[in-house]
Amino acid sequence: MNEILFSNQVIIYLLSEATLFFLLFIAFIISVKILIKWDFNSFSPTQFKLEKQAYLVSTITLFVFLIKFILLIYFVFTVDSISVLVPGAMCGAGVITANEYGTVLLGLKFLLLALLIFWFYLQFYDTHTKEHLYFKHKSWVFLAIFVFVVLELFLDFQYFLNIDTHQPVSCCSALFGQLEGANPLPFGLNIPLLLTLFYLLYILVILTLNLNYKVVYIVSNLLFLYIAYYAVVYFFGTYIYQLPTHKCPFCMLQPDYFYIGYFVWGFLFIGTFIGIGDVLSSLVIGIPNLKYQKITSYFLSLFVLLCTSYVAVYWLKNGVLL
Amino acid sequence: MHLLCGCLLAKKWSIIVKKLLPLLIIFVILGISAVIFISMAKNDQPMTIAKGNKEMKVLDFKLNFTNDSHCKMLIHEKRNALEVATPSGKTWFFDDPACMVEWIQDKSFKDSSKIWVYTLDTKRWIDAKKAWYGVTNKTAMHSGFGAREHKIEKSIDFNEMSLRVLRGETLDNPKIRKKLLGD
Amino acid sequence: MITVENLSKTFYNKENKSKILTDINLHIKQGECVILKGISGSGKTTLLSIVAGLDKPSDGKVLIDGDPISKLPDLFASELRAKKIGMIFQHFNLFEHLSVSENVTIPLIPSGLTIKEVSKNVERALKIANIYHKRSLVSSHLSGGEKQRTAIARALVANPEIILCDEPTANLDKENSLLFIETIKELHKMSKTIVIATHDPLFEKLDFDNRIIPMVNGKIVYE
Repeated sequence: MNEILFSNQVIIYLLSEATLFFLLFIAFIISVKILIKWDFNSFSPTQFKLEKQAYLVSTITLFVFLIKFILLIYFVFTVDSISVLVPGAMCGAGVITANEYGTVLLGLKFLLLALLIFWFYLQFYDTHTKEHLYFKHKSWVFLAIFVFVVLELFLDFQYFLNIDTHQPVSCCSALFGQLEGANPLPFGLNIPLLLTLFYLLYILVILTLNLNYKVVYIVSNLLFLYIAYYAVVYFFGTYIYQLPTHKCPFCMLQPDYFYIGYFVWGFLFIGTFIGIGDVLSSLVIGIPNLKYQKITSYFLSLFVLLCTSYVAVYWLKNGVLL
Repeated sequence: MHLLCGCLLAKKWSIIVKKLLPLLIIFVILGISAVIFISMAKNDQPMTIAKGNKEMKVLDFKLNFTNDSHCKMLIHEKRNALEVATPSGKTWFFDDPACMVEWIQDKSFKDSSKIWVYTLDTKRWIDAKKAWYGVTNKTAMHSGFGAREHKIEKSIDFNEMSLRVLRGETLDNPKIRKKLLGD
Repeated sequence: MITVENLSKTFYNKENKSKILTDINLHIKQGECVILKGISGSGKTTLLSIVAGLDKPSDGKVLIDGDPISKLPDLFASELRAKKIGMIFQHFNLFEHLSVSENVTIPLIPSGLTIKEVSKNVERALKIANIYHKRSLVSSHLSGGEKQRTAIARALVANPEIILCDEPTANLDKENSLLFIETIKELHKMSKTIVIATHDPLFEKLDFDNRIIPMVNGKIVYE
C-alpha cells in the first residue's frame, strides 16, 4: 500500500473530501427533483415541500462550499507537507508533478473555487428577492459544480494513490528553471517588461472595476492573473527567497518563509474570483451595480503591495536589487 | 467662505477626474498592447520540439538555438546531433547519442520513430540505426560515441551503443575511460 | 388585510400524520377584531402561527396586504413580521433577566432607528400598555398581569398594523383579563387589526365591534 495514504494530512484530506461529496450528493439528488417540479407561483403541498427541501439544499450547499474553501488551502498544505516523503521533492512543486493527475487536480480546484464564488453570488441575490427569482440559475450552476466535484474526488484519490515514493521527482529548480537560452515568460517578455505589464494591468483592473466597465474588467483581471503568476514566480518570488535563481510558486508556502505564500496567492486568487464573480453575476442577472468593488480592490491592492514590499525592503536594506 | 470655495473646487476637480478616467483607461490599454506586441515581435525562443513533420524527415534547426530534450543544453554543433521524428509529426533534438538513448527508453514511439544522426565521416544525416559508433570520440555529453556512416575499427552498431549507454559504459565513466584511453 | 385561502396544515411523524387545519378560508379587513374561538386542539394556535409567518402551511395561501407571507424567503418574512405584526403569546415569552423597557426595546434593535427614536417608541408603547411606571423592574419580579402588559407593550412598540394574540388571558385572573380586554378595546379604537385565539368565555360578549369565528377540529364551523 502506498505510504502516502498513511500520512495524517492525506487521511484527513481524503476523508473530508469524501464526506463533503456525500453531502453534496444528497443535495444533488434533491436539486434534480426540485428543478423538475419547481413552480414558485403554486401554493400546492408539493411546492411547499419543494421549498422546504430547497432550503435544506441551500444550507447543505452553503456549508459544503465554505468547507471546500478551507479544504483547498488544506490540500496545498498537505501536498507541501508530504514533500518529505517523496524523493527529490523539496516542496509542493515536486509533489504536484509526481504524476499526471496533480497539475490537472490543482487547476480543477481553482476552477471550482471560481464557480463556488459565483454560486455564492447567485445564492445571495436569490435569497434577496421575494420570489426566488434566481433559484433556477443557482440550481443549474450547482449541478455544473457537482459534475466538477465528482471529477475532483476521482482525481483526488487517483492522485494520492499514484504518488510513487520510490520514483524521484523533479524539484522546483528543474521545473521552473530555464532551459539554456530559453525564456519561460509569456509573449517573449523580459523582466522589466513583465513588471511594466504587471503594474499596468493592475491599474487597468482597478480602474475598470470601479468605473463599471464590466467586460473589460473581466478580460483585464484574467490577464492580470496570468501575468501575476509569472511575476511572482520569476521576479517577486526571488525577493521572498532572497536568491535570484530560486524560482518556485510553492516554496513560499513553507514555514521558512513564514507561510507568506498563502497570503500572496490567497490575496490574488480571492481578489480575482470575488471581482469576476461579482461582474459575471451582475451580467447574468442584469444588476447594474457591482457589490464588492471595494473588497476586490483591497485584496488585489494588498497582493500588489505585498509583492512590491519585498522588493522595496530588499532594496532599502541592501541598496541594490538581485 | 474658504470652506465653501474648497468644497466647490473639490467638486469641480472630481468632475474633471471622472471625465478623464475613461481616457486614462484607454491609455493604459494602449500601453499594455504596446508592451505585448513589442515583446512578441522580438521574441526569440529556443526550439525544443518541432511539429508537423509527419514525413519523419530531417529538419533544419538553428545551432545555439535548439535545446537537447534530455539534458536541456543548447546544441552547438551538428556533429553527432540526432533527431527523433515520430509518426505524430513531432521531432525532438539531441546533441549526443547517449542523451537520445536515455530519453527514448520509456517512450511509446521508441520503435515506430525515425532516428537521424549527423555523421562525422560523410557529414550528412543518416538513419541512426544503420550508423556505426566509435567509442572514444569527443562528443557533447562526453559519451564517446561518434556516429559514422562507414564502419571503422572498434566501432559498434546502434544496438550495442544503446546497451552500453544504458549500462553506463560511456567515456563519462572513469573506469571505461581508463580501459579505452589508458591513463 | 389578512386573506387565508384553502389553508391546510398536516404534521407528520414516524407512524402517522395529523391534519391540524383543513381548508381554512378567511378574510379579515383592516381594523377588524376577530376572535378565533375553540377548545384546545381546535387549531387556533397553529392558524395564528401560520398567519404570523412563524410556520408554513401544507397547502393554501396566506396573504398579508397582498404579500404571500408563507412563501417569502426568511429575510422578507422577518421584515414583514417586524413591521406589520405584533404578537402576544400565552406564556408572555419575556426575557426574565431583562427589565420591562429592555424587553420592549428588543423588537426595535434591527429596525435601524436612532437611539432617540427607539426610546420615544418604547415610552409610547409602555404608556399605552399602562406599564410605564414599572419600566425599570426586571421581568421576573412582575405579576402575571404586569407581564401580560409588558408583552402588549412589546407587541405595540413597532407600531404594527396587526396584533395577534394567542390565548392572552390563559394565565391571568379575571380582573387582569378584563384589564386586558380594555387594552384591546383601546387598540381597536386605534384601528389596529386584531386576531385573538382563545377559549376564554369573557371574549364572547365584548362591548365593541368584533367577529367570532368558531373552530372545531381544525375547521371553521361557520363564517
